[in-house]
Amino acid sequence: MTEPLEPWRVLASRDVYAAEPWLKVRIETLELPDGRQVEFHQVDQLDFIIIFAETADGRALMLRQYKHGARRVSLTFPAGAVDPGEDPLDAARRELLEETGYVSDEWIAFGDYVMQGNQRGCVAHLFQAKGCRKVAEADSGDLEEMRLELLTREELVAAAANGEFAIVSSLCMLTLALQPDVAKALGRPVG
Amino acid sequence: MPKDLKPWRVAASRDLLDASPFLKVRVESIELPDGRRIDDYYQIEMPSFACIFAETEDGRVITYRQYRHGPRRLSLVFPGGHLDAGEDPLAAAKRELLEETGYEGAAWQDLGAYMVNSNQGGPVSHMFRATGCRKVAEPHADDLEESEVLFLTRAELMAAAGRGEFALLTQIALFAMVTNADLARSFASGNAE
Repeated sequence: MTEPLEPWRVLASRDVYAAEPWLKVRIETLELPDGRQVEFHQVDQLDFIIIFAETADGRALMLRQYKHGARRVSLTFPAGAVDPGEDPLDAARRELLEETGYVSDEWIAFGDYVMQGNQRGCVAHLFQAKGCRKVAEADSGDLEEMRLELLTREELVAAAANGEFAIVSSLCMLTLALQPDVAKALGRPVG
Repeated sequence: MPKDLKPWRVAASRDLLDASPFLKVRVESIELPDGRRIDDYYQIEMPSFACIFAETEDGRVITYRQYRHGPRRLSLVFPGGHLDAGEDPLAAAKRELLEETGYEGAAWQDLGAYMVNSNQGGPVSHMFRATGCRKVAEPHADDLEESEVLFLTRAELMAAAGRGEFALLTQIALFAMVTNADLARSFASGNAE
């Protein structure tokens, strides 16, 4: 058995580039458990929420849009940045309404996950919304032109195998929600 | 039906920070399909990486428990690492598995390449599954992290996931993707080697 795994200690942090609120790059001076000192780049990006939203008849609300990060059109779940100080579930309700015009009374949280092992990036908060119903027209205010598609789970699986998911957070949302054992292990009702 | 979804045009790009090979930050001027122009669209370049769900001949999954500074806590992670410049993703996955664990896979499956950040880009996460892994060498990883190597069953991984022991999105995604029966079937019709 190895020694207990210890966290690293942050000795110092200095900003090297800031374009807030979207992006900040810092260099941290870290002390490892064995006493070595190293420098690590840290990237601070906006935390976001992402939603597996299903209608009462079991269709997922999906957006097909050009995403510039991936330089291609991708199938994505409704998602968006958490405003400063905003509760992630509130952000999820807001984004679902803005991007699709749908609301839900039944929310499940699948946990919070950091995007990058070393540089952090940001945190993704994953949610499922059941029994979604349309109450308004979508009005995302985003730069992207998006197409709302209501897909069955079988269609989602086929789309994944067909390479239509370009973004890792959407792939993660899909696989967590559609893997029944994982969904059961992670999911907890919220709101 | 809306018209076809068009890509954005990059009208200009300016380097803001060059800390190669770890990180590069650029700002792009973007022209949207409707003619609007956005002059401050930030892009990040970072080395892409491979993540490997590696199962031994007796069906145990090679997993590490290690402190990761990104999430600031211990996390279960699968073998993986950065692609060298110009390196083929599958070749990188095979190299990293051998270096980190000393294991070699009998069969490999490519589970796709996924961009980490949908707006700002960044690294691409290449997902692989290796089965029939057996030990052929001693590991010689030179990572900074102290690691505990575990050989876990899928049931043990599932229980650990439920306890929140996966801190990283790419890792829980890979686990759920491989253990999703429908997805596994669909991907299996693809490119095994």
